[in-house]
Amino acid sequence: MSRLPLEGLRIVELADQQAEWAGKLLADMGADVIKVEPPEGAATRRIGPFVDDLPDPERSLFFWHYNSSKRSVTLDLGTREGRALWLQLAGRADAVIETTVPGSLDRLGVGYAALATANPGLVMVSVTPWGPDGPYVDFASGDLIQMAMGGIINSCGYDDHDLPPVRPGENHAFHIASHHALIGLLTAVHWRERSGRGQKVEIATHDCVAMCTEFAATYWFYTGTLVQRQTGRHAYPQMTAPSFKPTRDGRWASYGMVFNEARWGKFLQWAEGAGYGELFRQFGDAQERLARGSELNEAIEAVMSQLTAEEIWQLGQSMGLPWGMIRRPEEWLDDPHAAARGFIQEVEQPGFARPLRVPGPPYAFTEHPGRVRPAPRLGEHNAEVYGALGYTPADLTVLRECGAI
Amino acid sequence: MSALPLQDVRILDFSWAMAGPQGSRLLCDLGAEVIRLESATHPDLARTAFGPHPHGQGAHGFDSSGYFNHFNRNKKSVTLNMGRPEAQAVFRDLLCSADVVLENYSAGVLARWGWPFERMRAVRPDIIYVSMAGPGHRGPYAGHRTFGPTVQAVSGLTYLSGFPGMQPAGWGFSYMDHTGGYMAAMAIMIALYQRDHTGVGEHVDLSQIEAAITLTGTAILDFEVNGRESAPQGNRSRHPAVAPHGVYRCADEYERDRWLAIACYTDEQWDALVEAMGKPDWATTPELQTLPGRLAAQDQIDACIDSWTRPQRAQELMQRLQRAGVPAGVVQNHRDLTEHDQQLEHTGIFPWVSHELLGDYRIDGLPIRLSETPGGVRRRAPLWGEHTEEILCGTLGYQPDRVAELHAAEALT
Repeated sequence: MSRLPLEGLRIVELADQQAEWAGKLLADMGADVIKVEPPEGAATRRIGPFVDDLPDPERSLFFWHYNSSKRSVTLDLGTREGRALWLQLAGRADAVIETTVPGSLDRLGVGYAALATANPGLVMVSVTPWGPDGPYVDFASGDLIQMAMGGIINSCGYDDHDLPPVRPGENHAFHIASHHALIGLLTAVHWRERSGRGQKVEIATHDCVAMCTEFAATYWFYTGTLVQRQTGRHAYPQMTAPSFKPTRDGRWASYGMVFNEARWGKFLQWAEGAGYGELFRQFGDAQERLARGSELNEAIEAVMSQLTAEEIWQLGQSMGLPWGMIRRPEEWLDDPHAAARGFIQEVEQPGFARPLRVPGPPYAFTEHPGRVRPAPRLGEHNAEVYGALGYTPADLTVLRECGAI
Repeated sequence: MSALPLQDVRILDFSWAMAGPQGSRLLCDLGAEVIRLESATHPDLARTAFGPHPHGQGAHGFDSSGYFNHFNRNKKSVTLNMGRPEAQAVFRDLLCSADVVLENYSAGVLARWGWPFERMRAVRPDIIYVSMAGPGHRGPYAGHRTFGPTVQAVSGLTYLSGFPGMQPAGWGFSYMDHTGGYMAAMAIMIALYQRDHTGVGEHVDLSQIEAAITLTGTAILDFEVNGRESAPQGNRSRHPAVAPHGVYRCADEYERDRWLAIACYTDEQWDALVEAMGKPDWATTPELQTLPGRLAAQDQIDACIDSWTRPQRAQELMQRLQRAGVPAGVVQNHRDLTEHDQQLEHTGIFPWVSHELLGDYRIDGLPIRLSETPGGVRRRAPLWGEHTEEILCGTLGYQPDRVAELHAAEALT
């Protein structure tokens, strides 16, 4: 197997769902990510779905997805021995990613100040809901709360504003924060390799989500207008034309009417061949199509209702139009494009009978591609990792008996 | 000026619209020199189309768009018409001086200009090339054209957003332009790390569709392992499975459309919510004191909470619930973000930027805070071709008569 891009990068992760995604992305590209869990296991091991819907710390698919390719060690920061292990792990690391409550590591004497004294080149990335301090620092959080407060939910939902705005599915506030954490981490490592100096990187999820709003920000800043949510399309100061079309197979196509002359010509050619020539010939040139926009839209809708979503997607693309269909994520598991690109990978997850098909990394390195390895069992790498720090099997037995690991 | 952590990185940036520029914006904020290569033969849609244009579309030529200013601050602009033979040597010289080439065109555009990756590498052996076409550069859909909404639709993100039984609501903006940009920046940083340690650059064939699919991994695993088709959940949460978890109507005298998000992840948070609501009879039944009971009664709970929040002011109720320990957050719009949100005022995430043609405006800041080498917003977006002379004469060392020849040959248009 070829060398992996991040081989040699040593990360220690003390993170929950706020930043586990960052650690996973680094580990899939070859970084050695040691996940530090309390003896009872990371809280995300208790988030479903579970294999066969049976809750168990070793059956959480949420945990498997967000912790692939990592190594797991246990330690209890509430014990003196556990804190000593933590200091030793961080002392050998290039970077730490952590999501503890602001100030809690410092109160135990094992926060950035202590770690940096022992390892001045250390990069420490702290991901928190609101930042290290400020008026909301003690606010209770969660993905829904962050997506609401950061301004994303205000842009998402339906034309009917009697319906609540919608949080898009999955935990995207945590994704957004993790992406910034990863960029901050590698940026600080880049600087460390040139200056010899480590530093602290603060990522407030609230800041990150509030920077992920596109037009909502630009319209407010430049014109003082607020955007309105609209079904399936950009929130905008004015209401715009619908963009999702129902299809023959009971699904939805995503459609935008951006016909220049060349594309209109191709479309007309297709329409003639498909028996819709008469319907579309009447629309003439670009000016007329613009003037009779809603009529043309109705004609298009009538045709789309006769086609499957897949046919509309491929038809639009064959004319150079950015049309699509609304797919379920799992449809990519059997998609020829994903297969040809090697995007879907197989993972042998211990404790599961057959290889699992999972998405590969979000960027295809063409010569040194990343790969997804299984998520670790709880404490799976205690002997290996602590052994490398000089602990003997007898030492580990003592640590286990006193509850430190 | 203090050091910036990426000050030794030079990025040649062909990217346009938003996905690419969002990625190079982050690295530029952190100190990378980002040189936009632009041509009037295909001007950036963010300069010409995407709004708003505070003085009208085209009022200042290609420098009229607030959107462009927003996503391209700190960067430099060089005009270079890659269709002209005379531009080839200029690009070759730029390439020799650069670390990274970034573009988000459809597949094949750089190759048509004569610069497939193999040729870039022949000129600059350790060059890093990140392309970010929607479907990527390889595979049966490689020719597909996508915008953010197309990427979101085909990937599955759109499907997962909406109320069950209704048409999808999707995303109200190009989330995958933001996130495609983040992932391009991540790919660049990963590739730079690799180059530092091995001396090798490479082509990263980023597909924005694949990037989006990775965000749905839990749903894909649930299908792969349990055979469960993914499905939209409205504002409810299946991972983790908790209740209540919703968005409830409030009332404000100045805005009709007011909503508050409330979630109880623990029994303690539920108890605190019940207490804050004044212990109504419906909430104190034995069934609702356990999570399985609350999950089974979500319709009833949501209706009752909604009638309780309906007459209340969102910001005040959030403060009250948060003081009681209940996770609650206003569905904030941008007036809230800039005028009511005390935390964002504290973090100072919306700085001002001055633009001599457009005026002074607030702008999204940099949410990556480095303690020793902080980045941030330093300067407005570049005017059209503002840095052409600086880069050609300064960085590449061209004599003025060479630049004049290039102008005459229309290579800098």
